[in-house]
This record gives sequence, C-alpha cells and structure tokens, in this order.
Amino acid sequence: MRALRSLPLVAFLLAAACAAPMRPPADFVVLQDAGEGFRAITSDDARLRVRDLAEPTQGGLEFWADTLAQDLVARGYERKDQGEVKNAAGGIGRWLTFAANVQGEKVGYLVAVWQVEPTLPWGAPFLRVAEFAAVDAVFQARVEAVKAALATVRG
Amino acid sequence: MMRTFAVLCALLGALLSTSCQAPSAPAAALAYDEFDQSSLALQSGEARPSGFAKANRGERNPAADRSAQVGDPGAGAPAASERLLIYRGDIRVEVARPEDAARAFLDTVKAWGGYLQSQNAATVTVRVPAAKFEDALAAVRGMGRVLDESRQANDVTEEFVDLGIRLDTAQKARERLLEVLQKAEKVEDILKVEAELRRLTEEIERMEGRRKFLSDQVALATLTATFQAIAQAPPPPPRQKQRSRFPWVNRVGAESMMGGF
Repeated sequence: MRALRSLPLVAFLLAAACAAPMRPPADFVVLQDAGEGFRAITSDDARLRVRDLAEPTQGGLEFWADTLAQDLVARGYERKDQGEVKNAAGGIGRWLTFAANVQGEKVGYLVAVWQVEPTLPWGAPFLRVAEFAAVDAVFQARVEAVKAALATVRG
Repeated sequence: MMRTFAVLCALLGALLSTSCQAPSAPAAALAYDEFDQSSLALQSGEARPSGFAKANRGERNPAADRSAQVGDPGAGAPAASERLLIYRGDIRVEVARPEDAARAFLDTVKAWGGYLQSQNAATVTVRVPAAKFEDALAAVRGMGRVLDESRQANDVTEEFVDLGIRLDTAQKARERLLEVLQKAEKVEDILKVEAELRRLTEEIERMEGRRKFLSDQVALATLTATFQAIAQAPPPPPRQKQRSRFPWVNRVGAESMMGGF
C-alpha cells in the first residue's frame, strides 16, 4: 500500500527527470537532451549547453560565480557584463558574459550558474551550468534571446 | 573696292590681335584651355609670406585677401605682389564614430560659409573659404588620430593674368568688328565679319568661363576628409590555462564549447 501511495511521487520525479533541461530559443536544434546534458545548435553555429556539474559542499552561488569569473579572466577572457536570472522554478542564478579568443577568432561566451538543491532527500546540491558561445557577430545577434530562454532552465 | 579692302584689313587685324597676342614670358608655356599644375613657388624674401609657408609655421594663411580680390570674374588682374593659389587637401583620421565625426565636420564647414561637394559614407569632400583651409585641416586633425595627410597649392596667377589680357584684347577686337559690320555693304563682307564675330564671341565666353572657374577655385579650397573607425583589437590570446582547484570550473569555457561540442 505504501508503495502504491508513493507511485505518484515516483511518477512525478521521473517526469521531472525526463523533462528537457531547458527550452532553447527559436532556430536552435536540440542535439542531445539526456545523458551528459543538453546541447543545441543553430545553422550559424551558435552553441548552447546545459549541464549539471558536481557539486560543492561548501560555498554558495556568489562564491561559485565569482570563482568561475576569476578563473575565466585568468585564462585570458575579457569580462563584459553580468546579471541575475531566475530559472523555471524561480531559483536565482547568475549570468556572466565574456569575450574570448578561441584559435584566433573573437568569440562571445555566456555562462549562467544556479546552485540547485537536491530533489531527493539523500541527494547533494549541485551546480546547473548553462553555456552559450558563438563567434562574436552571431553571439551579439542571439545573446538576448538566450538570456530570455534561461528562464526555462529547469530548477 | 576700298571698302572691301578696309573690311579685310579689319578682319586680319582682329585675327592677329586675338591669336598672336604674346603672353608674358613665364606663362608662355601655359595654354588657357589646359589647367597648368605648376607647383607653388615659395616666396622667399617677401614681407608677407605665402599662405602655404605661413601655414607650415602654424600662422593664418592670408588667402582671404587674394580670394576676395578674385571673387568678381569681371575684376581686373590682381596686384603683382599677390599670388593666386588653389588649395587642395586630403586627410584621413581614425575616430570612434565616423558618421558622427563627418556630420560634426560638415556643420563646422557650413558655419564657415563652405559647403559639401560630395560624400561617400564617411568620406566627405568640402569646399571651404580659402582662408579657412588650415582651420579645416586642424579641425579634422583634432577629431582623432591622423593616418594620412597631404595638401597642395597650385599657383594660377600667370594663367589668370594672361586670361585677363586676352579677354580684354578679344573684347576690343569684337567692338571693332561690330563697327566694321555697321559699315559693310557687300553680303560677302557681312558674312565674313559675322563669322569672325561668332568665333570671337565663343572665344570670349570660353575665356570668361575659365576665369570664373579659376576665381571659384581660388576663393574656395577643396578638402577631402575620410573618417575611419578605430580598428577593434581582438582580445588577447588566452593565457596558459591555469587549472582551477575546482574540477567543475575546468570543464567550463568557450574552448570546450567551440571545440568538441
């Protein structure tokens, strides 16, 4: 009986687990939305990815966002802008944009981070990281639509 | 018979006076219907130096005096001490916003009494009063980093003086021919005189047009300014990746996005 009562919960958890990590903007074609994470791409080679990365037991969103920003700058990225963003569950995350030089080409890069509490009681918090990258002209044309789509990232 | 002879003499005199007028020696090589690109001879020893030399010393160029004198195409030849110079310049500067810079420059030119001659994107060719030529160059220089600059001054004094003399002679010859026409009786003589009158009139109009053109060129200098956007330097190449102590940070970045996606 107890098992039957927990069926709806299990079904809900399964449904949540199977739902796509985000709804990308128009023109993006989803390449993968399971396993290693979510990947989508456009015809002009704009790339979108969402992954759940291992998670830190200490620290909080501010700490991880700052750590990531400093590491990227140390790698030679040029920091551009930053802001807050809410995911589909209302969880607050932080987005940052950079300009980077990848194999001699100027590339725009956006990364958004949320610290997500585990769904299951025995789970651990993790970081959900959304990334968007494209050559600079394509990046500038698409970045606002991607920022808007970050609100659909599963929380 | 005598009248015919007189008509022929008048015709011959008109022909000789307009075609064989010896120009002044230095300008002998100049043809009035060709623009002589003789370079400016810097005038050493003058109390008031040429506008070009003055400009090189950063002083105002006195071309305003000369341009004022030649403003009226009907005016007589300028004083011997005054040179008639046509100023032309080209300048290319690097600016943050080319269109805004071009617009601001045009506003300044209009305030000085100049005008836009042609424009192609952020390259503008303007005519400015000759007295403002150096100011116009300085204005463009002040807008950004100068990439290229050139200027020249063509001396057209000889041609202008020569034109004045030829014009005067041709007008007098035409007046004489008109008098002869009044007295001519034979149709053949009348036709000859009228043909010569037509030729003289065309020649006078051509010379007047040329003098007007030179006056305009001297009064207003021509400057072509190109405003070029500052080249955006690409961001510096990535430094040697410094591994973060946090593994997840090392997995994030544009290189992995653009590489093995």
